[in-house]
Amino acid sequence: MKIAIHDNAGSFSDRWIAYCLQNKIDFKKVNCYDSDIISILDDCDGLMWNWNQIDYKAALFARQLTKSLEKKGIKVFPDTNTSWHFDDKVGQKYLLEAIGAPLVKTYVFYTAKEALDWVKGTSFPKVFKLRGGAGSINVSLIKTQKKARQIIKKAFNEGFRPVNRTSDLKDRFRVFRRGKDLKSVKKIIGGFARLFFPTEFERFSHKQKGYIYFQDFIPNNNYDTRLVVIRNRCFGCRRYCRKNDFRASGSGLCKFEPELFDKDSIQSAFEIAEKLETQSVAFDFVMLEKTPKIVEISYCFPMEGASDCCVGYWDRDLNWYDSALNLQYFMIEDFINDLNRK
Amino acid sequence: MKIAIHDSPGSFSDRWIAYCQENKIDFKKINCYDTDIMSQVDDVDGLMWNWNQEDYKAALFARQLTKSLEKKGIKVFPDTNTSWHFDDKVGQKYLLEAIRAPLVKSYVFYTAKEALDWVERTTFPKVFKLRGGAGSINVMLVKTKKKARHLIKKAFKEGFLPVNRISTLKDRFWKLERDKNLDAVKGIIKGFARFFIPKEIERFSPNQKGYIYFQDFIEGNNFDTRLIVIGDRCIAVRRYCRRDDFRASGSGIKEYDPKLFDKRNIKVAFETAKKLRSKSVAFDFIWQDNEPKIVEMSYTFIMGSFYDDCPGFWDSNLIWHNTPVNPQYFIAEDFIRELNENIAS
Repeated sequence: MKIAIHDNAGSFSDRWIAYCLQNKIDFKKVNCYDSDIISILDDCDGLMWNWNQIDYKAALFARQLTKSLEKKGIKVFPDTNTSWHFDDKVGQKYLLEAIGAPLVKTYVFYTAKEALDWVKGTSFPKVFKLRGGAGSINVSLIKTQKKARQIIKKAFNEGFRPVNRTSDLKDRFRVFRRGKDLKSVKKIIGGFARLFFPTEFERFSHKQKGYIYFQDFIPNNNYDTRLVVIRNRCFGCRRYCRKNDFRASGSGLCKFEPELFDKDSIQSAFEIAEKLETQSVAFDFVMLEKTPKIVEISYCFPMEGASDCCVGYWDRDLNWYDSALNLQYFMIEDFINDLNRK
Repeated sequence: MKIAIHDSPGSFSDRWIAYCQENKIDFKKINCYDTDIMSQVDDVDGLMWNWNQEDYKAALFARQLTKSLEKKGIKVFPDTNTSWHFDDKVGQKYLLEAIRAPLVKSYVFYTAKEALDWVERTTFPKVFKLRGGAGSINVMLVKTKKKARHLIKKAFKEGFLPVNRISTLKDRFWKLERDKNLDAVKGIIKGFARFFIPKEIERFSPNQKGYIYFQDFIEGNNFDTRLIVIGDRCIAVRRYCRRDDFRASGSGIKEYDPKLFDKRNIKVAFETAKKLRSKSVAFDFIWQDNEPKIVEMSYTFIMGSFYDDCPGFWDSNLIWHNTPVNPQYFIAEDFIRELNENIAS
C-alpha cells in the first residue's frame, strides 16, 4: 500500500507527511499540476491533496482529476462526495435541499427579470453572497429593495470581482484593532498595496456574473456554531460576530467549551455528513426558532488556530472525549484505514 | 412513473416530448433555472435536460443540479457520468487517460514556465485548443515553437475569448463557398455584426486563462469518424476535413455508408462508452499507425438530418441493423426503460 501526497507547504500536507513518517506509511510526494499526473500515480493506491479556494489553478481541474482518479480505482482525499460542492454556495443550495438538510432558505436566479420579480414579493434584509469565497469576504447584508435591485443589475452586467478589496482592507483593520501587533500592522500595509496590485488569484479568477444568490437573514444570532465532522468525530467552535456586523466567519473570536454546544446541532451535523458521504465537512450553523440551520459547508478549514484549539470531540453517540486534537491526522488515519480494508 | 422535461424548443426536448406523447409516458415540463426546482421535482422519478455549451447559464449549475438530484434519488439525463466532462477537453484528458482509452496524446500546463519548458523538448506541429467550444471554433494548428510561445504568453496573461470571432467569421465564409445559398450570405452579415455586438455567451463567459492545452497533430487524416454510442447502439458518420484545413468537426461534408467504418473502431467506441458508464457519447476518432484514436467526446450533438440520415446502427455484437435512426428517441427509450426497471426492482 502506497499513497501519494501533493506537497504544498502550509497546507494539510505538512501534517499528512509527518503522519506518514511517524507511522511508517509508504508515500511519495507528487505535483498534481504535472501534465502526466495520471501515469505518475500508476503505483499508488491513494492520493491526498488539500486544494483550496484561493488556488485558482486547482479550481480549473481538481474536481476533474478527482473524478478521473476515482474511475481509475485510486482513492482520493478529498473525494468527489466530499469536494464537489466546495467553495460553491450555489451547488450547496441544490445539494442540501436535495437531501432535506436544514439549510437557511436560499434563492438563486439566472436572469435579472426573475430576480427583480422576486425582490418585489420578498422581505428584507436578505444576505447577498457570491458563490465562492471564504471568511465572509463576499458576503453583505442587503437591507432594502433598492439596494437589492442595484446588486441584481450589477450581477447581470459587469459582475463582481471574486475578491472584494475594500472589504478585505476593512477586515485587516479589524484584525489590527483586535491584536494590535506588528503582524497586523504589516497586514494593513499589505491591504493598501492590494488595492493597486492584484493577487495571482484575482488576475486569474474571472468575474462572477450571470447569477445572483441570496439567503434569508436570521436575526438574533451573535455567534455561529462551526461543527466539523470527520467520520465519527465531531468538533465544535463557537464563533462570535465582529462588532456591529452580522458575520461570524473569519472574525477569529472563538470559544470551545463543550457545554456551549447543543446536542441537536451535533446530532444534525452527524446525520447530514452521513447523507453527504463526506470524509470531512465543516458546517456553519445558526439558530432559527431554536432549530439549528446550516448557512454553508466546506471540506477544509484553516489548519492552525481554531481547529487546533478544540479541547476534545464528540463521538457518534454524542459522548464527549477530552483530548488534544489534530484534525489532519484524523483525516489520514481514516484514509489509510479505508485503503487497508480495501 | 413520471418524468420531468426541461422544455427548450430546438433542443432534444422537442423529440423527448413527442416520444412521451406517442408512448403515453406521464411527463411534465419544467424550468431548471427556477430557484425552487428541487421542490418541483418532488413528484417525478426522472429529469431530462439537454443543456449545451452555448448556454452559459447551464454551465453555472447544470452539473451541480445533476449531482444533487442523483443524491435525492432522481434519475437524470444526462447523468453525472455522461455529462461531467462535457465541453471540457481538460477533464476528458484526465478521464480518458485514467480508463486507458486510446486518446490522442494530450498535454495540459498550469504555469507558463512548465509550458515553455515543454515547448523546448517537443516537436511541432501541435494542435492548440481551449477546453470548451464545439465545431472546432477554438482549435488551431500551431506549426512553430515561436507561435506556441506566443500562445502560452497569452494564456497566462490576458487569456482567450471563449468565442473566437475571426475564426467564426472565416467559418461563415467557408460555409458560403460550400453551400452558396442565402442562409450562408446571412451568416456572413451576422459574423460581421458579431464583431460589434457580442453574444450572450461572450458577455457572460469568462476569458479562458491560467492553463494551456495542446494535442499531438496526427498526419494523414483527411476525415474523422464520429461514432455515437447510445446504450447498445452505435451510429456512424464520416466527416471530411474542410479544404486546406485539418479540422473535420463542423465541416458538414459527410458520408454514412456502413462499409466505410472499421469494426475495430466501433468496438473501441462501445468498450470506452461502457467504461465511462455513459448513456450517450459521441466520439471523434482519427487514425494513427492503423489504430483508432479519440480526439474528444461529447454527450450531445446536433439534432436533425445530420444523424437522422444514418441508414442504421451497429449493436454491441457489431451486428448492423438497417433501420431508421432517431438518436433522441433512443435516449428517451433507454431512460424510460431503466426507470421502469428501477421501479420494478
